[in-house]
Amino acid sequence: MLKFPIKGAIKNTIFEHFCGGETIEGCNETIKQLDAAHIGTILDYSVEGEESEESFDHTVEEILLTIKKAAESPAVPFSVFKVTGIATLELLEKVQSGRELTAEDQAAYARVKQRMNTLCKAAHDLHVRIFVDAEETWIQDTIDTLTYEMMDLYNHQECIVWNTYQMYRTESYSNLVKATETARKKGYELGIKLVRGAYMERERQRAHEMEYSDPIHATKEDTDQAYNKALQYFLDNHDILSICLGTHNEYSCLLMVQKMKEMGIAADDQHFWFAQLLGMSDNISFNLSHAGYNVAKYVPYGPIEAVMPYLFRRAAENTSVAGQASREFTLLKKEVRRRKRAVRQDLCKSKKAAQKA
Amino acid sequence: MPKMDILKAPSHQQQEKTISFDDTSVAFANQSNWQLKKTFFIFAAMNRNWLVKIGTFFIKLF
Ligand SMILES: Cc1cc2nc3c(=O)[nH]c(=O)nc-3n(C[C@H](O)[C@H](O)[C@H](O)COP(=O)(O)OP(=O)(O)OC[C@H]3O[C@@H](n4cnc5c(N)ncnc54)[C@H](O)[C@@H]3O)c2cc1C
Repeated sequence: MLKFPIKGAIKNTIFEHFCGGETIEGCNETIKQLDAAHIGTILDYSVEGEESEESFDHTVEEILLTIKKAAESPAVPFSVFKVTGIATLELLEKVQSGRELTAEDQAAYARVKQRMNTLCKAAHDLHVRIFVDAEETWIQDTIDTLTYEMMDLYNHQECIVWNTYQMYRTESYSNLVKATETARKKGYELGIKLVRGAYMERERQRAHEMEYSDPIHATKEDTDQAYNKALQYFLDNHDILSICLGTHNEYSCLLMVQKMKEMGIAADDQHFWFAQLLGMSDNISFNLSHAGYNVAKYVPYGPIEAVMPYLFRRAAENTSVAGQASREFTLLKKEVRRRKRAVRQDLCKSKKAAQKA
Repeated sequence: MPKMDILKAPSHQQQEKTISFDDTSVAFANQSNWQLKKTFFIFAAMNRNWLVKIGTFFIKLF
C-alpha cells in the first residue's frame, strides 16, 4: 500500500499528468478538456490485476462501463481492452503452443471466449468501436484468432472490432496482408491499430533464453520501414480497412497526412485515426486535431496503486537517453520561453501605451 | 511539398510544411501557465534518470 505523502505526491504529479482519474467518473474533466480541442478519449482501464476468474469477470464489467460511456458520449470514440485482462497468460500460451488442453483448460478457454463475446457484442449493439491491444508474440496468435472470430461476427455492417499490428515483428506485415485477404473473402471490415510494439526487451530476452530466432526486427530502421510499408498497404486497400496510427512518431504521422492529401481523402474521414497516450506528444495530437484530423488519446485510469507499473513505464520512457533531453522536454522549454516572451512584449506595449496617454 | 519516401527512416528535412509538430502554441494551448509549469517540472524530473530510479525504489519500499 502506498502511504501518504508519497501517494499524494504521485497523485498530484505524474498520475494527474498521465492518467484521467481513478474511476470513469473521475476522467470527466480530462474528457472535457480534450474534447474542447476536438480530441477524443479512449478510456483504458489499465489495472494490472491478479490472474483470477473473479478479477477477469470484474474487468469485463469495467470495460462494459467504458463501452457504455463511449455510446453516450461523442467525446469517447473508441473503447479498448487487453485479452490478458480477461484470461491467464498461461492458458493463452498453452492454446498457442498446440499442447493438449485438459478439460479444465477447455472450460477456462470457453469462458475467455464468452468474455470476449460479451465485450464485442456490447460494442456492436451500441455501435462503439473497440480495440483489442496487441501483446507478446507467444500469445498473440491466440489473441488474433479470438479477434478475427469477433470480426466475422460483428464487422459485417460496420467496423466495430479492431485488431492491433505491431510492426516491430518480422511477421506482422504478412499477417496484415493475410488478415486483409480473409476479410475480403468473408466480407467483413478490418479495423487496424498500427503500432511499433511495446515489448521488445521481453521478446528478445525470451528468444535468446529459449534459443529460437528473434521475432523482432534487428534495428529501429527496419521497424520504421515496416511501419511505413504497412501504412502504404493500408492505403492501397482502404476500401475495406480502417486505420488508427497508434504512434508518437512524427514522421509516420506526417507521412499519413501527406498521403491522405495526395489521394484527396478528407482529414476527418472516419476510416482514418491518429492516437497518442495522454500526457505524451501533445505536439502531435493537438496540431493534428487543429488541422482537422481525427485524433484520440489513450486515457489510462484506475486506482493509483494499480496503475503504478504503467506510470513508471511512461516515466522510464521519458528519461534522457545518453544525456539528450527528451523531445517532450525540449518542446515544453520552448513553450515556457515563448509565453515569457509574450508577457514581456505585452508589458512593453502597455507601458508604451501608458506613456502616450 | 517534398515527396516523402515510404521506405525512408525519419528525416527532419523531408517533413511536410503545412502541418508543423513544432508549433508549441497549439500543442499546449489547453494548459494554463500554472499547468504548463507543472508539466515542465514533471518532465524536467523525469529527464533526470536518477529521480525515476529513486521513485521506483520508493514505490517498492512503501
Ligand atoms: C494509442 C497507442 C496504442 C498502443 N497500443 C499498443 C498495443 O496494443 N500493443 C503494443 O505492443 N504497443 C502499443 N502501443 C505502444 C507502441 O507499440 C510503441 O511502443 C510506442 O508507441 C513507441 O513507438 P512509436 O511509434 O510511438 O515511436 P518511436 O519512438 O518512433 O519508436 C519506438 C519503437 O520502435 C521500436 N524499436 C526501438 N528500437 C528498436 C530496435 N533496436 N529494433 C527494432 N525495433 C525497435 C520499438 O517498437 C519501440 O517501441 C501503443 C501506443 C499508442 C500511442
